[in-house]
Formats: sequence, structure tokens, C-alpha cells
Amino acid sequence: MISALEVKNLSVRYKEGNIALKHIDLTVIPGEYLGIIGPNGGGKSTFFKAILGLIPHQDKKVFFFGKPLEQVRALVGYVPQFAKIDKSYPISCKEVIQTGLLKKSLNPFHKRSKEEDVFIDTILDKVDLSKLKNRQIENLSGGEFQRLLIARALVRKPKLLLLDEPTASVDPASKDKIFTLLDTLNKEGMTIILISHDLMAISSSVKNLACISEHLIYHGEPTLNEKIVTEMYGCPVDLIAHGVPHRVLPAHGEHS
Amino acid sequence: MIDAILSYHFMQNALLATLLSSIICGIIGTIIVEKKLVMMGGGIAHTAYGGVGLGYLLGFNPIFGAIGFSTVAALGIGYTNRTGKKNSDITTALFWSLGMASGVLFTSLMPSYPPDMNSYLFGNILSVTDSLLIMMAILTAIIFAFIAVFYHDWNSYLFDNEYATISGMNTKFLEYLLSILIALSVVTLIRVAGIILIIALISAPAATAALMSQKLKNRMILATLIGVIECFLGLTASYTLNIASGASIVIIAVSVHFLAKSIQLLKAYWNVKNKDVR
Repeated sequence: MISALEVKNLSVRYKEGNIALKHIDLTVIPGEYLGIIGPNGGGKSTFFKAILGLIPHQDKKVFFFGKPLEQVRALVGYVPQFAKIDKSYPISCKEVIQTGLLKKSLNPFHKRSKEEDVFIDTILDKVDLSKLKNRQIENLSGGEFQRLLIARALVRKPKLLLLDEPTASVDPASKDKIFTLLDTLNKEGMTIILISHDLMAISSSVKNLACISEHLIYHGEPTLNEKIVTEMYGCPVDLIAHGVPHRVLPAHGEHS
Repeated sequence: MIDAILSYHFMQNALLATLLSSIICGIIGTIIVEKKLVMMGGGIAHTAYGGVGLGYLLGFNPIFGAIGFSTVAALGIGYTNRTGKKNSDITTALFWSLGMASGVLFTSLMPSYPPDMNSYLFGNILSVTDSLLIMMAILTAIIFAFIAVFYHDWNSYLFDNEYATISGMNTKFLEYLLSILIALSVVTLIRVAGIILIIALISAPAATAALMSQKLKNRMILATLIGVIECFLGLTASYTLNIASGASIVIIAVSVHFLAKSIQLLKAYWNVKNKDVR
């Protein structure tokens, strides 16, 4: 079977010479729902940026569906951290999704077709934003903006969706909505990889977990033991079951 | 004023120059304001001074010198922006100072009496010649064409550069093209507002338009219209009161912006107050 993502021996160094990622080997099979966790500064976002070609790395051994990214861009959807996007930019929800439709390196005289318009409406409906399609992004809540960015990625009909901290800075209700949406997409056959620093938020949703802190510490079912989590965070950690299967907490004195 | 426009060729040229400048301010100004590249624009404008000085020293049209110097500065600052954001303000400041210093050096090296550089530093729209007007028209057409043809690419790039890159868009080309377009805009506006005042003329109408519209295209159109009115008022003030044209245009543009901003703040205050009462 061709892997949705295959990373072989990926190492990344920052410009200053510090090592960000060391010898990462990761294979994600189609249909997997993988959560990547790790401490702040552990290289999670750098991992995404490296495999997506935003950060140069020496090892050109990253394959999406058996091919380099350049050949299969349309199959890979990406949802960035919404906090990094300037929400004051004058653009409506519909226009944001339209930017996801631009497929060529340059798109002179681009005009939306009627089919694309209908598809945009379908996608907005899917993420529960159809009523807000003409709203400017600066008037959206954090959760709505996050779902809009997911919609922009979905408009290219990807088979693999990469999400960088999709539930950071959103309220609990929006968090639930986002996880329900991702769960539906995964059940429809989409491979999903999401990054989070919030173990509790993702461990009950994803099928598998990967732990990255400079190197890949763990990849498997979301039933972590204390040794793995302690190695990942670099400090002693207690794991507490909250009555939900596979739910774990790095808690060492921080929970009450 | 109307009589003067109908009677004098230099006034007709000045009026056409204000129209062309307003289109530049509307389009490139809006992008500069949205992309927060105002200081980059300032750096490019001041570097152009070196080119003007070199033109005088070597005896060619100073505007061509300005094009060369501002393009090099634009590409240099654009490269730093792309490769390491942390250093871009340093690079901008260095080009800024280097351009001004070179301009002073080149003119001081002239064997004859140094030329009056005031019209380049502070603008003199009444001195726009036919050939300069043609050049301004060509540059404006180039800038307009590049923005209009790739409008959706610009919109995507300006909104989320990182996503556009991942999608396969040639953002490197767009970034350098934008730098060059800013350089060409600066050159087009040199005679209108002058090297020192250009940045206010580029950003003020766009910033005012940003207070009135939430759509990029509408902001560009509004900023152009605001620019036309402000330039015309500045030109009228300059002609009737016999004062410097660049300064009067910039003072009007900045005053209009502050007035619009004050009205917006008062409106917001009024709305909050009314809400509290209810």
C-alpha cells in the first residue's frame, strides 16, 4: 500500500546552527488520524514546515502518496495556525476559500466558474459557515476563522489534511465542532495529521499519536506510558485516566 | 484655477500628473499599507536620491538614475524580507542612508555649481515636462497591468503568503515583482511629492480608504479617488497661494486622514456610549 506520508531520516537545522529535528522516520498510512504532540519548541510546527517545503532540509526524502509534494500538491491540504494570519486583512469568507482554488504558480485573469461557486457553497455548508460567507474575516470568532481555514484547505479536495494547532485559542464549543468535523472527514476516508500541544484535547479524538521533541519519541496508539511522556517533556509527568479510554494528561502537579 | 488649467500647458501637465499619481497611490499604496511595507517604501524612495545625484554627475536624466537605484534597493530589501525578516528594517535603514549620502556625494563631486535638488526632495508638480509625463504614463500602465492581471494571486499572497507558497503559487516572483513595482511607483511620484514626502502621499490616501471599506478592490478604487481630490486640492493651493506643491498635497492628504480617523473614533465612542445608556 502507498503511504499517505512517508518521511525518511529527516533532519532540520535552524540558520543559527541549532538542531530542530533529528533523524525523523515517520510513515502514515491512508485513512490514519494522527495527532502529533510535543513540548513547545520541540519541532512540531518545524516538522510540518519542513515536509511542506517551507524550510529547506538536506534530506529530500519526503513523499506524499509515493511522490514528492510538487507532483501531488492538490492532494495535500494545509491548515496553518490561525493566530499567525492577519485578521485585519480586507477579505470575505468566500474570497478566502477562493484563494484555495488557485492551483497554478500564477493565475492571470482568474475567474471562478459556476461549478466552483457551487462547490464553495457546499464546503461552507460542511463547516457550518454558509450564513457567514459574505462576512469579513475580522468579524469572525476564533473558532469560525479556524473552520474557515479548514474550508479553504478542503476546497482542493485533498486526501491528506495537515492541521497546525487547530484548536489553540478557541472556546470549548468551537473545539468540539472542529473535532467533530475532523472526525467526519476521517470517516469519509481522509487522512488527517494534526499538531497540538494539548494532549488532553486530542488524545480522545485521534487514532494514533506521534510524539516529537527534536526526534520522534513515539508513534502508535494513544495509550502513552509515563516513561514516554517524561522523555518527551523532559520532566517527570503523571498520567491520569479521566474515565475516557486513551485519555491521558501530562499533569505533574498542574491539574487539580 | 480652471482658467489656469485651460491656459497654461504646465498646468495641464500638472493635472495629468496628479491623475497618474493618484492611480499609483490607490493601487500600490493600498498594498503597501496592507502588507505593512511603509518603511520599505520610505527606504526605496530615499535611495533614489543617490540615482538622481549620479544622473546629474554623469550627465544623464536623473529619473533614470532614480529608477536604477530604487530598483536595486527594492530588490535588496525584498531579498532580506524573504530570507530573514529580522534584518529587513536594518537593510531598509542602510539603503535609506546610503542613497541620501550617495546623492550628496555625487552632487558635491560635480565640477560646476551643484544643481538645485529641492524639486527632487520636496517635489514640484508644476515642473512636469511632456517627456516625464509620458514616462509616468508608461510606468503607471505597467503597474496597473501587473496588479490587474494577477489580482487574485496578489489577494492570496497578501492574505496568507505561507499558504500561497504551499499551494504552489510562485510567491518568490510576486514578492520581487512587488518590490520592483514599489520602486517604479516611487519614481513616478518623485516629481509630485518629492523623495522625502513620497511615503506620506503613498500611504495617506490608502490608509484613509482603509477606514471606509472592507474590500481590497474597493480600497484601491477609493484610495485612487481620494488621491485625485487631495492632489487637485494641493495643486490648487500651490497655484493660488504660490506655495510648494509637494508640501501642500502631502499636508492635505495627511490632514484628511487624521480627520477621517477622528470621525471614526468619535463614531465608535458615540456607539459605545449609546449602548451603555440602553
